[in-house]
Amino acid sequence: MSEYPPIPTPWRTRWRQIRIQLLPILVFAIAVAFVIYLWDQELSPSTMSG
Amino acid sequence: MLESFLQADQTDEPVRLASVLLGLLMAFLCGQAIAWTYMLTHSGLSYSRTYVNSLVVIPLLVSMVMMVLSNNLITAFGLMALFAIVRFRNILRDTLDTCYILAGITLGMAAGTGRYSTAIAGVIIICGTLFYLSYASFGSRHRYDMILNFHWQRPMPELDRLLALIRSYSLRTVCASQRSHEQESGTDLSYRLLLRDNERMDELIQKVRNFEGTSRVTGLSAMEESEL
Repeated sequence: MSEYPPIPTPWRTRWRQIRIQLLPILVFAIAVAFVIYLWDQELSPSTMSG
Repeated sequence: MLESFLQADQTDEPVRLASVLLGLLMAFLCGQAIAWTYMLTHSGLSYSRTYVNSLVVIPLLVSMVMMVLSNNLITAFGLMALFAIVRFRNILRDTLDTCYILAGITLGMAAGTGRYSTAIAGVIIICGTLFYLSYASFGSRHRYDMILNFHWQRPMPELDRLLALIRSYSLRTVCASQRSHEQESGTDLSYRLLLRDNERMDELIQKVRNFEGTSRVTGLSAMEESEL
């Protein structure tokens, strides 16, 4: 047990960290996933019959 | 009366009032959405009400321009000459302000050329992006929110106990400067801290003041490392 245990971090500080650090990564990941989905749907090579 | 009004334009194709109104209203809606986004997300000192109003009007004007042009090269050249006379000479203070103006212009073009789906998708994505950038404080480098300065009079190896105390209050602790003097004993230290709880900053300063070996303790609340 440390002589000075860490003080509790309030939720607003945790949320601020999430908002500033994690949200951009999350939004970027969602955008990439959506682009891949749309790429598959819209730009898949058309097959030629005959 | 209404019929003669609708046929007043001397064009090859008859003007459909409903499509003209739809284009203008779509441009107005896009402009207002952009203006609201600007009002809600703007940070800084250079806020101007007339600029916000212009964000609503510009899409309308551009939409009207596109309708008047209607694929006519001669009209387009005439309009370019007119624009050269008007000349917009005011300098935009913020780069993001220019983005809003461009958003207004492109949305107005989309509405004026009947590309309503593009206008709707564009305004949703553009406004959503601007809100997201504002909410996530994107671009700000929130690395610390307090600067702690103090004079340490005891030997440096004994500093670890004090650092343990400081670390119990901070998520990140970085030594910004360490300075020793020729005439006096001890070392001046400056630490940058990302606090666990902003409201307990005074408590930390008090504890550092009471710690044996410290003097001249000052705490400075640091703002975000970004421009207004």
